[in-house]
Amino acid sequence: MVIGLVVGIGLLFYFIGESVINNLYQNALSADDKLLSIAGISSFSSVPKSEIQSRVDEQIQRYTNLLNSQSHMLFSIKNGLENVEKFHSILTALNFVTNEISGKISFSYLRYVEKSATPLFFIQFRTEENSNVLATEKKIFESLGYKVYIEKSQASNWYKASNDIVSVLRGGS
Amino acid sequence: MSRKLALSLIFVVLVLIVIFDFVMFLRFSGSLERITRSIQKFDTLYSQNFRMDQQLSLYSKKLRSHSISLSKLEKEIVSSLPSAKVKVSGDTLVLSKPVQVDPVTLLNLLGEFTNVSVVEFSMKSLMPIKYVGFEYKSGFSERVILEKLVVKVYGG
Repeated sequence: MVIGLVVGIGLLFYFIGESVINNLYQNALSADDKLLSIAGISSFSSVPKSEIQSRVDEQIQRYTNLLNSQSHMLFSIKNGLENVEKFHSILTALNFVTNEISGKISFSYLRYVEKSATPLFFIQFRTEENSNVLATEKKIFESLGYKVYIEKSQASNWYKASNDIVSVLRGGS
Repeated sequence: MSRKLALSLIFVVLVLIVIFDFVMFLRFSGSLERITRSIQKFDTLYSQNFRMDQQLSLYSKKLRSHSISLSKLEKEIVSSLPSAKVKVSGDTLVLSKPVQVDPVTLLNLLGEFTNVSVVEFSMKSLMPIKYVGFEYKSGFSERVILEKLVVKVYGG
């Protein structure tokens, strides 16, 4: 009889302890109610703990996969935007240059490559009347944040002109 | 003798019960602790996902703010350069043969959209020099040949 009493008190103590612990966690997790309902758990107290665990694990797996594919997508979108922006800024720069020295020049050879050390390069014919054009171009490109390399070439006998290759590179450093 | 036996039996049961309770509490709170850790992890992932969604919608909005489909761009290019032949594969448009162009019109067309990325572009002029005040003969009119054009259209 005494043994029965001891076992009974022990079991009672166990159930009380369990419910105390359960209540502690339930209180602690009450702030996460919304989160739990997103994971498909209506209430923390009524759903078996093993089921809560497996559902949350499922959601963790799902969101991990989702984040993975989304970060791939974000990377490709950002990459696309960057490439589009590169071309647009080159066009803007060219516009600035041609507005500034309109009528005096013509790009005889214009080449743009998206993935290149020098995205844009063009061959410019310089004449005796507009020998300062290259300096002006260089100044305009540089003021827009480009690096400019001018490769002077030998004089052509086409109306006493000489052609120079102008390479334009984006980036500060 | 029997009294001593009974007392030690009670003591043994008491010890067993205490051990049982202790182990069960540990197990129970352990599994709850695991659940809370998992919920925390889920919370982090969920908020990251939320931020990711925001970024995605922001950047894709930017990409689509002035977009054109690949087939429409093809039509535009062909209508402004009637003699041009273009090849479309996937999301990329490639000029198959060099063609004479009006560079300003073409560059304006290519620079107009936010989802059109120019991968490669190459032009060559047959009349290189423009002089101020120089009288062009008709044979000297500027002819620009588009040699290479590779365009990628995002989401088209």
